[in-house]
Amino acid sequence: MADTSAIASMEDREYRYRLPVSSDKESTFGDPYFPAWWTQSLQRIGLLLDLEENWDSYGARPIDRRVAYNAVQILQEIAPAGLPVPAIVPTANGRLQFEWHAGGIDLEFEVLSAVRILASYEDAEQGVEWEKEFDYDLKDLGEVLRILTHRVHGAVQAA
Amino acid sequence: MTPPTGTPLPDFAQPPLSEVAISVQFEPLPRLVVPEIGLLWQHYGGKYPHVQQHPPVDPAIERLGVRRPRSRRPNIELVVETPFPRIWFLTDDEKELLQIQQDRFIRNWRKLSASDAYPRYDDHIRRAFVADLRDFQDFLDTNGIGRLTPNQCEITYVNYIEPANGFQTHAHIGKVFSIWQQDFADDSRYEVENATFSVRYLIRSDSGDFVGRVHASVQPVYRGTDDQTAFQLNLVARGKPFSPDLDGIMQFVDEGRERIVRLFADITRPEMHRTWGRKNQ
Repeated sequence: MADTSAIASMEDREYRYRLPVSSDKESTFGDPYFPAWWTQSLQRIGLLLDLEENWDSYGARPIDRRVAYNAVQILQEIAPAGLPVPAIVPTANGRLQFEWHAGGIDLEFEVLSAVRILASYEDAEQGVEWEKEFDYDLKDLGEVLRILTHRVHGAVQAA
Repeated sequence: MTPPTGTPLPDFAQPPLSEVAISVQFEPLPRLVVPEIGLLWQHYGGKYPHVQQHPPVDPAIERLGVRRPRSRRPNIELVVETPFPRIWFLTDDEKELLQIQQDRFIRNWRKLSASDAYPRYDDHIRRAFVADLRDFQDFLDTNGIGRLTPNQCEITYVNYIEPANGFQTHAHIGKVFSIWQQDFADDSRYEVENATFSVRYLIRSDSGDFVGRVHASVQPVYRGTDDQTAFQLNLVARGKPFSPDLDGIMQFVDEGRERIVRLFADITRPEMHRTWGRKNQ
């Protein structure tokens, strides 16, 4: 497959993410290869990376690019197929918070570095609630993403 | 962490090694930029007289709970306005080198000619890595660049396996590797042309906690100079340091090296071990 780049220009900066798509036909991998959460999240992150110093008028820092990169890499590794699109919120200390509030589940996590993730989880349906710091073992975080995905898709199908 | 078997480590007089590398990844050092690299080259003086510039390598972190191998994910690169390169500092004979970027320190030994003997992990490879890493941290301290906060360690053995003991073509993969069933290769219904494989093994602590992985991959290759048939066997142990300091880094590297050596002996056939001069069975 030929290599093409999608470039979004914002003022005098460029944010480029390379997608291995064919130049003359649609990707043979099909839609699951480019899940909705991924493309929509990258677009959102691209906008947030343009926030300047003091973007909230209370001294907030610009978003750290490496943190954003780490966050997307980690989410790519553990996201189940069909993961709902997260809300992505900038924090005052230059990080990104990923949030889902659906299906009776509240899940938030913030990537502090390549090996530090703070997460909080509350499942009103199951009566489960925790706050944890993750490093290299992301099984539990991946598991709650899976629970969230199934809960949301189950609700969509029921409707 | 106890050794996998507790038996003496397999030892080969002429292992088919072509390259050994030890690497440590750390939190990025944004103050390690071009002028500081110039100071570092001055600091090295005649020890590493040659310099090359290469694109940086992406971070590689072993995590548990991963649903997709890296090769099956869309590749994302976050382009910064002035990406910092990976700088190679080479010895005069270019057999050994340091590779330094803002979040990685690597030391390589490589076999450049047939007469180059593997200088041994205990005798040289380990000692040289520790010395150079300590020296690098001292340089960072002296110049106010920052402290190394390691988050991943890696040791890589690249083996170039040449024909011997019935191995003549890539179809003879079963004569080299014990995990390839030779009966299948000999089955006349299947004319094997060549084969590749890769396997990942988990590394756990004594208490069962996830530490990292050993990756083994085999590819059929041809030598560039004379098209000689060979197999390239890459063994990589990658995982978290036992503690965020040099001792913790080397604990993982030692553990990874031991697992690689044992795995090498286990996945290759005893007939090939004789070619490589195995000293202990």
